[in-house]
Amino acid sequence: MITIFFRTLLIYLILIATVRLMGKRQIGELEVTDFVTTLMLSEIAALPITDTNIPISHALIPMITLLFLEVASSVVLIRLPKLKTLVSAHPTIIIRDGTLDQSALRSIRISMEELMGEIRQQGYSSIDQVNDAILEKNGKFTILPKSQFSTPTVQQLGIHDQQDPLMHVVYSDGKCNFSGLSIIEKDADWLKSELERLGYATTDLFCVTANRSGEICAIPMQNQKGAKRS
Amino acid sequence: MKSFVISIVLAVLMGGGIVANGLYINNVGKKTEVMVEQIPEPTHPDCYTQAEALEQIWKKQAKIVHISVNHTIVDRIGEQVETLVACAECGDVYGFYTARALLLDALGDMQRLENFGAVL
Repeated sequence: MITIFFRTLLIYLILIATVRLMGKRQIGELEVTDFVTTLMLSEIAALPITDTNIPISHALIPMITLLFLEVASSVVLIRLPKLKTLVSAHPTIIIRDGTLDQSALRSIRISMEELMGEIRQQGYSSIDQVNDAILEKNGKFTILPKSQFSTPTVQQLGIHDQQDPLMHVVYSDGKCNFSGLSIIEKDADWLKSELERLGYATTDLFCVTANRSGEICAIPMQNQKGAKRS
Repeated sequence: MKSFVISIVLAVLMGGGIVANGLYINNVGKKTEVMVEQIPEPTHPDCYTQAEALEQIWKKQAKIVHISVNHTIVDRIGEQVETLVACAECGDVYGFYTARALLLDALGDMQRLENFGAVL
């Protein structure tokens, strides 16, 4: 057991160093430590299933060790931001103010074809349309266009639009969703009176969403009339 | 924060379990080795009795050892103990010493994982 504990610790640290050195593109949306833990957990969990010679404790020990390492590392990294730079990557700015940073491109080992592919995927046909391009630490690209190629905002068009508050589920599976109701600062009596006003019985409804402004969207059960919105 | 506390508690419990298990396995290994070495050769009248006693003790210990030691190693030890008993019963001196050597080796393998030497 001592051997397994220290092997788990050693492999964990080696994997973190390896994935960190591989670069951002390999880890997708996960932090380095999350990625490593996920990789190891799936392998460890499978071991006693496929090999009956291995006692369960040989999987439990590494799994608890990984749990502790994962939670402890996330707490430590929050408390010591400088240490986080060792484990997590920084975002890399590839295009700044319309100018391509060739050394940054070389440092993250991305070709122009790959960069152009990412630019096209985000809806821009040419590198000339891009003001800033950033490779985020989760491996995804952020492409910010030049102002003449960007979609105008409501503010720029001078349109006065009211903010549409978020809709929350307040009724589903035949019961009121009290947590949804508390988020929008309403209660079950309010919901009942609004549904009566709309002409619905709760038994006819599949789901109801509402927002803080008091707007309701009721979705009836199938084979009933379409959704009504107040 | 709750998950941090829970993981600390689990890690401490696990650490205690690892240490206790290490001590137990090493203790069982050493006691069994001593017992094996004390068994006289098959020509001695007490050989079979002591070999049988070893078998009975090992059967009880194996139930707990199974929890943390690879089943292959535990089964290997069990096989060598049974071979030792059989050789003691029929007076096979050559087989007895072979089984004894293999048994001591298997006991060493059992303790190896509980020492730092097997980490790398």
